[in-house]
Amino acid sequence: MSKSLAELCSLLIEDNYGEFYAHIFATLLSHGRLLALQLALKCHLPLRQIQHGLAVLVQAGLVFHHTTSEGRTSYEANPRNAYDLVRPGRTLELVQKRFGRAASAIVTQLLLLGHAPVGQLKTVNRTANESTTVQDHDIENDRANSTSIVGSPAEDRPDVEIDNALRELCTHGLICRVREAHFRTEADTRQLVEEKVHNSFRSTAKGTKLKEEFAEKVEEAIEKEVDICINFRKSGPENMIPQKRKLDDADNIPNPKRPKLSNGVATNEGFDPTYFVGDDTNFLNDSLVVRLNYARIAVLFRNSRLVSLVTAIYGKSFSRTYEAILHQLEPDLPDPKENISLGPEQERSPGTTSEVDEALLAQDLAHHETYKEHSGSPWRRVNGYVNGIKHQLTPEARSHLEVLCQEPYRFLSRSLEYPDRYVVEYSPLSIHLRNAEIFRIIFARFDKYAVRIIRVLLDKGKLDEKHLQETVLMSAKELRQILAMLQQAGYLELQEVPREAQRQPSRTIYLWFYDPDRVRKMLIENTYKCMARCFQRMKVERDKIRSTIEKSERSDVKGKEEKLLARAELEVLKGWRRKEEWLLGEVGRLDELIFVLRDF
Amino acid sequence: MAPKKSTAPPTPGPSASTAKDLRVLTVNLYNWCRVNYDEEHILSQQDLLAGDVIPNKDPNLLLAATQSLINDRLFRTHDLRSGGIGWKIVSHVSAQKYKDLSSDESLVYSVIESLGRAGAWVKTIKGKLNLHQKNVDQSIKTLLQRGYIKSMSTVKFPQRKMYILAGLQPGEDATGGAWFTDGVLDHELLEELARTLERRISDLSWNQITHPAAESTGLKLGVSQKRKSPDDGFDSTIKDKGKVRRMDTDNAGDELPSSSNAHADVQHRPTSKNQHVSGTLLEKIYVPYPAGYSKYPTLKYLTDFVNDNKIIQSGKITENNISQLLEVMVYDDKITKIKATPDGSAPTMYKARKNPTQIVADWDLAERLRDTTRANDGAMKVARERELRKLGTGGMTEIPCGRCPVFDMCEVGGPVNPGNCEYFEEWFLKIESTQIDQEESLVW
Repeated sequence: MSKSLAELCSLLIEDNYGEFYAHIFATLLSHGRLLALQLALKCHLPLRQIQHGLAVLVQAGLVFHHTTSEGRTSYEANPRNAYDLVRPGRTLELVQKRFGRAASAIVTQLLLLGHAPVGQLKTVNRTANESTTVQDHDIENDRANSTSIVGSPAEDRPDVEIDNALRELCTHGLICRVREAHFRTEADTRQLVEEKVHNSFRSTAKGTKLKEEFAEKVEEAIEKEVDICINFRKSGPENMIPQKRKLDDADNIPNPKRPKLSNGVATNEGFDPTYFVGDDTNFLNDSLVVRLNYARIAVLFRNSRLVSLVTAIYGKSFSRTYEAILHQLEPDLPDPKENISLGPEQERSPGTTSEVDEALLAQDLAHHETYKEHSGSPWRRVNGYVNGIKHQLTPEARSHLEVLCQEPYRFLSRSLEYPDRYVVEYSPLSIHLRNAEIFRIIFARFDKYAVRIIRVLLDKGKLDEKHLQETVLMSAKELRQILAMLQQAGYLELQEVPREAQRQPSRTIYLWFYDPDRVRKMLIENTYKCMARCFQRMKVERDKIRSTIEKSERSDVKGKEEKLLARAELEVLKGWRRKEEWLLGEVGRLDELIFVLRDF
Repeated sequence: MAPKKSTAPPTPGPSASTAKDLRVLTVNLYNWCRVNYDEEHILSQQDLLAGDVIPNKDPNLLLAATQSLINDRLFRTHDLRSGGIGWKIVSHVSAQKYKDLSSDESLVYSVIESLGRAGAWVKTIKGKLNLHQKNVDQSIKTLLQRGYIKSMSTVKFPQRKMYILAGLQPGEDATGGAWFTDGVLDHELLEELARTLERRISDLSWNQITHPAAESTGLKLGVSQKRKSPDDGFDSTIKDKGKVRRMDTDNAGDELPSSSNAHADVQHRPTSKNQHVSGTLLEKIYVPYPAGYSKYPTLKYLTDFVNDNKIIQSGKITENNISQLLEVMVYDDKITKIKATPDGSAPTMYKARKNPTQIVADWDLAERLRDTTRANDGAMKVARERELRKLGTGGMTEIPCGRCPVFDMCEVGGPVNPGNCEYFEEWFLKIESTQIDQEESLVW
């Protein structure tokens, strides 16, 4: 966990929840795991207040907590979730664009509450307009939009709409279930599970085999503990009744700290299989607690990026085809591994691929025009048949697909096993997007020659100056200048390979190389820092005109600013709003960079 | 010049004839070699004996003859690849030169000669001959005065003193090839040629479709047959317009499903820059060729294109040079390589990243940018326009922090901190002005 990220997380919490919570969070971040009492000491605050603050932070999913068997509860910051606080605006934008207003109303509600039972989300229309606590700019804007619809007079219509939207969000994994394990750190969960497994573990194996078996069991159990999917496709009627009973037990939740399905072992409770059987719209159990799955937002965003890349390269009609393909793949796509990304050292998820069937695609494309407005029903995914007619790809569509399969981008490729299926290999595409982003930054900071050098080195590996010069067609002097600049800025590195043991400089080969991963990490760090600076600058600007802002926020002035404030004061306020807008806009753009560099 | 191991002492053996006979023999041998071999060939002992010039193939006689030729500078010794010693023939003219030279001078001359078009560096000469610097300098001076050698410079080591035979031109390695003029990389030439090539490749790698306004023969090409019921896919509004393939794609017509042409697609973005594009271009629409299209330009085509149109004044250019430039263009993301066959047996083809409309728009923008910066009228607007175009979306490069020189030092409570940052003030002013500009005319 880097310094800039810690700084940024605290600033985000301050922006969203206030200074008090930010203080607690920052203390937890800098000290690591603490008991409440210790935290109170470090924060120089009374225990009562700390406990209150912790409760809020836990509720928001910003702090992990864990109670040992002796009953001592310790707390630890959750920077991953804290970072996600920067994303509600984009989330709403993407969700609304993709799934429509009803879905965005649900997401708004989830953003406000952190996590909520499904039952509460179903009533979202009628209650959404009341809650107005989140300070985020974008949310408020968007919420205003969404409430105007959800508050529409047609009383019974929204219900269906909301149900559809909920269903759609679940299929796409945007909404995921919350389990108790999600409030613990990974290590704690592991420990607990290991204890549990240890107690019940019986095996005849010995030695390493025993260990392996044990580890396997533990992994399995952990997976169950943290499983987030509300996967109703897998569910069968056989486990329906016991599940229901379990859920009924958990129905009324007295303990705010343990609101989750504490018996959450089976994967499929919460889904009412009758949904598939027939008419019941009540397909999700009302008591199932869900939250927003930010990892899926990255999927949505990646898709939109890919689509715009296709538009730039091949044109609009191609990108429409591609969009249809990507949309069809979305629900099946495995989560980009929760790579807790704060440890950038961690392995990134292996290439996620997914296949799309031609017949299905044909069908999708056929309904293309309507596809956008009406977010579709799960039926369209069942098979390639509608009313017994198998859809065929039109020749146009097929030729589009073939163009998309072309080198060097390979937006699509044909499946090796089934000739009529296509595969999207996300991992090289993500790398492409990432590189493009890095090149863009280098181009903006330096010039086209710098990008050329970087691309040559990326392609060819390590090169000495002579070879590099021949490849990039630049004079030695210019080349050296740019190389030095790039090295100073941390984009390039130099390796010395001595030809003799004496390591004489004259007898040494110097090789330039470009390490994309290192540069990526550096850029991520810098981006965090930039974002933090934006927030800090906002604070500075706010402090400059503190008195005016305070005046405008007085209860007797609020709402009547136009009338009660002097012209100069209004000007100042307007200027400040504009600046805030710019800075927040910039934060959003920086977040895009994080998406590309870290989350794709 | 180590003597061959197996040879006898340099004096002629018992069977040697008189000096006069040897003289004749030598001349005969030399003439025979001149007739049968060229100057580049290295003659081995067997070669020389094969000619029946030497009576009885007597090695001692041969040794005497070659030694005499070497003394006359008409033969030059060489190592054979298989080991042992070989000889090269030297013309009388070259041999004559040696005769006038002192021993040091002739040594220096021979080194310079042996290095050929690569040129000889003074230090190399000195190292090879183990002579004193002064002697080498003196010899070089004499040789220069006599016009036997000339000085040259090499691209790789511009500061080195190099010499080459007066009659030779420095080799490609030394001059740097076609891209160098007087030993300096010719940027202008590169840029200009890259532009021309990009335009040419672009013309050949996008399928141009003309609007129905200009052409109404689309129906003849069977577009109408491909029309299906309205729900068969894409926006029928675009499709219903008849499209016609451009002339140069007719050959490829058999390979492409003709319906792919129906997907007209405006590649240029509908932004203000189109206003500056000439009217004819606005009517052209470019779509990608279908997969498997095999008429993208190849290296050979492009080299011929450059040479046939005499784009480069200084004369012909080789495929090697063009390939170098194309490689750079690939790295500049102007073109992409396309392999015609997966195994790479067919030559690589090149496809432009942008279509002609976009390229022209780019040039146009650059042109205007150059103009307006001079006039300082709306410069900011154009700069912003370019910035937006180049940047696409994305942060980091826009805010001051992205290019802050003291970014690493910036810290809350430090000497440089977000509070006292001067760049932000500047930035606020800058956006304000661009926003005003934008509101005036640009709609993004």
